[in-house]
Amino acid sequence: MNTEAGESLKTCLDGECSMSTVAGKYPALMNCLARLLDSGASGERNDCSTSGALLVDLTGVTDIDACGCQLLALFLSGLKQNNISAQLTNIPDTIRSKIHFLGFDSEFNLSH
Amino acid sequence: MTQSDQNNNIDLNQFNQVFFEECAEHLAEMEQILVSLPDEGPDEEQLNAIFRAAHSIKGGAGIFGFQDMTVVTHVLESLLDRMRNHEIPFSTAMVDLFLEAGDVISMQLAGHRDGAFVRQEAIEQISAKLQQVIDAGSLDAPAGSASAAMIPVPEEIAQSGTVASEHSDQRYELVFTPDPDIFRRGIRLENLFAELEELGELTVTAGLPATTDFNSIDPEICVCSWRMTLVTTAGEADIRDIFEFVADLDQLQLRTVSENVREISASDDSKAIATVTPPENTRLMPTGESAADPAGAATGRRAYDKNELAAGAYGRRTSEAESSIRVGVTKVDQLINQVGELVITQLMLAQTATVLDPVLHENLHRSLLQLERNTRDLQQSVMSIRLVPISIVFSRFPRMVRELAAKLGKQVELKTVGDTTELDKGLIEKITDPLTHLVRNCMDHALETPEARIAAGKEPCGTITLRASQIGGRIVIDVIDDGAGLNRAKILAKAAERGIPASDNMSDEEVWQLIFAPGFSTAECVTDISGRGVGMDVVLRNVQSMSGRVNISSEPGNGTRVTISLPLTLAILDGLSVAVGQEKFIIPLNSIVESLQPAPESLKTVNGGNVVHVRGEYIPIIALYELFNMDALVKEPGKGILILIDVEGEKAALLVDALLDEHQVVIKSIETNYRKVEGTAGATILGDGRVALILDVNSLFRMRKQK
Amino acid sequence: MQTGQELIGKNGTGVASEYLTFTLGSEEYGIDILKVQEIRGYDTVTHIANAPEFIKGVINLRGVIVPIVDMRIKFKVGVPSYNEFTVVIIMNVLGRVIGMVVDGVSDVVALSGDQIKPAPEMGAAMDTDYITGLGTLNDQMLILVDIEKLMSSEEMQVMEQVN
Repeated sequence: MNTEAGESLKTCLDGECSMSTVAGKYPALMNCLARLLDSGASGERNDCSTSGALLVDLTGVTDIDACGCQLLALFLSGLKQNNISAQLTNIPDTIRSKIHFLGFDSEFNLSH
Repeated sequence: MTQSDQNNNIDLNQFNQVFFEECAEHLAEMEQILVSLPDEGPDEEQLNAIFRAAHSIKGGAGIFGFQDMTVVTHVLESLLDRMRNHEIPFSTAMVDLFLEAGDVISMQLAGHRDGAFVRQEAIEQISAKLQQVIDAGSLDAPAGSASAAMIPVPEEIAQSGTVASEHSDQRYELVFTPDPDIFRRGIRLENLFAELEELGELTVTAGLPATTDFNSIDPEICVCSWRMTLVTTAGEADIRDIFEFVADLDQLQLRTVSENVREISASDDSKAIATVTPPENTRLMPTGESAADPAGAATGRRAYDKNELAAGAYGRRTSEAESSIRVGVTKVDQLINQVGELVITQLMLAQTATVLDPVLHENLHRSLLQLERNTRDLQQSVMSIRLVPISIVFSRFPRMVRELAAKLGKQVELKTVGDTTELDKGLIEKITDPLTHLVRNCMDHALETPEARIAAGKEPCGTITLRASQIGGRIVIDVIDDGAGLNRAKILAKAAERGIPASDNMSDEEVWQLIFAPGFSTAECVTDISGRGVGMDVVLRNVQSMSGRVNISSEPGNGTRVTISLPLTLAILDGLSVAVGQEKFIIPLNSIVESLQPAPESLKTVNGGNVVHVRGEYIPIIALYELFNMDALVKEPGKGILILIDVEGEKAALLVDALLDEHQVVIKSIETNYRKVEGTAGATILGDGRVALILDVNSLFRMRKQK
Repeated sequence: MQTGQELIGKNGTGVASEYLTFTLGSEEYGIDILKVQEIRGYDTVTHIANAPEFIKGVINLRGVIVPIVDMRIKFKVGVPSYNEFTVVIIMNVLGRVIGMVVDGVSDVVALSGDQIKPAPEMGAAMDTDYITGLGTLNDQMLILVDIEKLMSSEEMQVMEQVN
């Protein structure tokens, strides 16, 4: 997991994203949210929705289950509550179909 | 987090337990159908039942993450599916193949449940064998026999696709709010959804609770809920079935949106109609209702069960689910304890009331009598919860007999009578081994080969009958064969050879008893079927440990009957209460021969030990006060009462102060809160609320020898 | 907006535990109140064959068979008399229910950590191994007993020893 500051913020998830790994991924995501808030990505600035968009890169995700989807969805909802918009990106096809199958398309703002 | 991690394994095991139990039930059901198949093959219902058993195991295994178990079940299911569609004909050799597959699945189950060793090559072998049949399109190479075994197929059934479409599709709306622990339980929702998708057209939408603080979540706790729509011909029972392992009743809301989807989709404004459905069509359906719902019952899962309510059809799962509940044995035992308490309280009340004038307190006495009746009834009902039908044990024998007969080259028919006879769950577990041994004995020793039977003027096919019945307060189980019968001369010769005391002028009955002597075996050759060092003595010991008795009767040329008689339950014992000093003891009635006041001339001393002379035998006297280091009123054998006991031929006379009463006592464990007490088999609570120890006669013999 | 930092205050060290106090002869003892299930009078017991003298026997406690030990005999304090004032403390120790005969039950007291001192090597009838400490309450010394350790010890012979 790394978060790059820049034009648009980006964070990556990789490996298996499932019941057996969520406990390990959760602190990193929490950290990411905290840093975004510290850096002022959110806040009362009205232009935040454009400049503060976070890209969540799923290139390296090898597998995902319902528990993993839930964590990701909760993360996205946490961002939203703080007025940070986010978008999943580079989703491998297999992961995308699993997300669809588990019913998380709308939570992830994906169209199928 | 660390704490919940620790709990994790325990929780998981607890939830998995449900799957293990269900899976074992499915396997047993499958086996039961397989061994009872007629020669011409399974009918449609039987085939469906086997298929659904395999399917349920596969589904459960997938959901619970036991992927390895889905391998064999998947191939098995595919093959069965092809057979149901009459693409592959049935042949008798398939029964063995399916039984073998069942064994492999059992092995995998045991591997997950008990950590038992799992032979990977067996899994691969059976999967390959099953796959081979699928690929070949039949098991038997000769095409002629294959087509002969084929059941003529009515046109409309052969094309099951059209059958399905004849039933109109229904649109179900499901709201699934899983248990927060569902992830931790290791349940794979993707597999669950895949199961649903097999039923029809499925759309899934996950939803999160409105506000969650991301910083205070537990990522392993499920907070999501899922809304699904499913368009299928299947009934709601089938949908509930899929959720069987994962959701409680209140965690799954299920309703039909419309009776006929096609009508709606024909309308332009389908969405509006779907959401604004008239209330009479919108029903919440708990499982209990489902079997009564004609639409649900008629359109089975994937529309293949023509009649779910037919005998042997798979309707069992849903119809039984509403009429029974699963309760832990500890809960039942707690209930039994509490009722036992009530009985004692009632006895105390009755005792107190005896001093009251019966005329003045007529009403009280009448009420107390009523109370007594009610408590007795209650006790009986509660005890009956622990009772299970003996068919659980009997059902394992058809397969064993079938296999052994093939191995031994004998023709054997197994008959069971009184399958519904009920006995205590604890007894069921213990009676299995002795019965297995007896049936093996019949197969191996008692029944003759077909040639020998024909030579003796009998039918070539021998018969073994297992018969259970309740006679009075006991359960009687007979194992009857129509074989050669016991050979008196042979037994006597063998006994002499083994140094077991015997004489020619013993009665038949006494001679038959000899085969219970340790190390006795009349088999001319030791086979791997019986006679592996364990003999009838083990059977006898097992039965006696359940307070049971074994009797043999035999007629040369006509067969043998072994009769096991058991108490109804392990929780209650018929006993005689005796007094020694201030204490009372219970002696199990089944070990007592008689009680007597010895005549002075019958008492002798041998090597400093007292013996009593009864009918030509010198029987050692055990003075209970001495053995237990306590005070007694009577210390002279001549002044007290002697109780003759006999266990496995070992005899002794117990010296007690007085005989008190004969009664049924509820057995309680001393070890729950204390340690094992030598010489006792537990304790009971008497009518006055005091504790009395129950004597273990075997261990008394041991104590005497040590002294 | 908080960033996940918890703001929970730390508890002080003065957490008090409650003890049931009882007398054996002239000595005052205390056991963790959480181990005590109930207190009842002494009833007739059923003697257990070949058990040590201090194990008085078993009683029927609402359908459960409960062993009764007499601490006065075990530790040779006081006079083991049984009358209407004799008290049995029914305890829940290591998942077992055990009754303990004592001369009398006095009180339930709360002692904080700083009121408890380590036990000296001698002075009580009970072996120091089973004593967690000495409490002081109104100038009175209270011997605090580790009842689990005591009841599971080999010398009490109440539980099967696992080797």
